Amino acid sequence: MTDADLLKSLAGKDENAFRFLVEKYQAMVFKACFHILNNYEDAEDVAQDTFVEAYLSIASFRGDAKISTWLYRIAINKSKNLLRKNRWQLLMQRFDKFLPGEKSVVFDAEDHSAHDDMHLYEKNEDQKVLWKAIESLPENQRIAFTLSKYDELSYQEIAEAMQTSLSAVESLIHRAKLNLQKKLVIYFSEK
Amino acid sequence: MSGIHIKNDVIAYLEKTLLPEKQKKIEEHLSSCSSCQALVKRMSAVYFSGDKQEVPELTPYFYTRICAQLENEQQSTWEIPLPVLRSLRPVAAGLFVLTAITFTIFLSNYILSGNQFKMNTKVGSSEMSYEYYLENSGDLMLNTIVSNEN
Ligand SMILES: [Zn+2]
Repeated sequence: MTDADLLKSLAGKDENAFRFLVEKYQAMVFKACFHILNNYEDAEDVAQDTFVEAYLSIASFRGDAKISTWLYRIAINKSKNLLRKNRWQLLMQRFDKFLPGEKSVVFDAEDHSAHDDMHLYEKNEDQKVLWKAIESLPENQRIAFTLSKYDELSYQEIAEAMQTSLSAVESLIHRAKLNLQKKLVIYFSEK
Repeated sequence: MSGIHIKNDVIAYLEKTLLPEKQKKIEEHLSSCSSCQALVKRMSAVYFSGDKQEVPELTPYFYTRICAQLENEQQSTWEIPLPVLRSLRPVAAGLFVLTAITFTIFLSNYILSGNQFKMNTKVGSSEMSYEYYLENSGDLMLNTIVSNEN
């Protein structure tokens, strides 16, 4: 089934077409969410919300992009919303505990909150350090970097998914790598 | 070359995206600097550890859960007004009582005035408040009766 055929069936609220869409793209959407959010449950929830929104907003999709790009766009927006919500909650927790805010500037791989334990359970020590560093990146750098490195999207595909220019994506990924390097070098020098 | 320079290029060195010249310079430096060697080794282990990480399996109930959420979302568009309606109940009851009182008064007025609504033409001005009307409706009816007899 081509994208055009699938879109036509989806616009007619064909249940089989929707099931086909979910089965074809669920792994792709979940994987991207899992890398952006670094948490299994959050990634599953956001992937689920992505398909629900896709179903509800199919009429507004003009078919100007590939279905995969459209799904990535929804998933990225939903992931961003969750990251902001989590950041706000973390800020409130820190405020409650009277912890100094400077801690968030670098990162501490040993600083495992209950939230972290949930999604770090399958990682080895090196992976824990890496993902802590990725989590501390600014939102758009984190998204562009993970889509490029772990979802193997081209810079052009990332630009379309993030609705930005190719040069913006190049800059985001370049800065993400420099930031990661800086954070890791500081971390290694402290250990 | 000092260790400071390596620190700024270590990921690019590992990904082999540096200019060949610079790549070669770093290699030369590494051959004689054990601290930079250690840094590159550690960075390599951590930076590439993400590549080996597997993505967990998605729940087999994923599609079922999406359908359940869709059903909820579609129902909720009808359920949203219900709490609003519930909160409007006292208002609706009040309006009903007021309408009933008004209707009773007008009906009695109608019967007493010999099937004519003359009260309105005589004292039912737009400035008259409803409270005033309720309090004085007895007098108004008398007035109406008198006016009818005239
Ligand atoms: Zn050195």
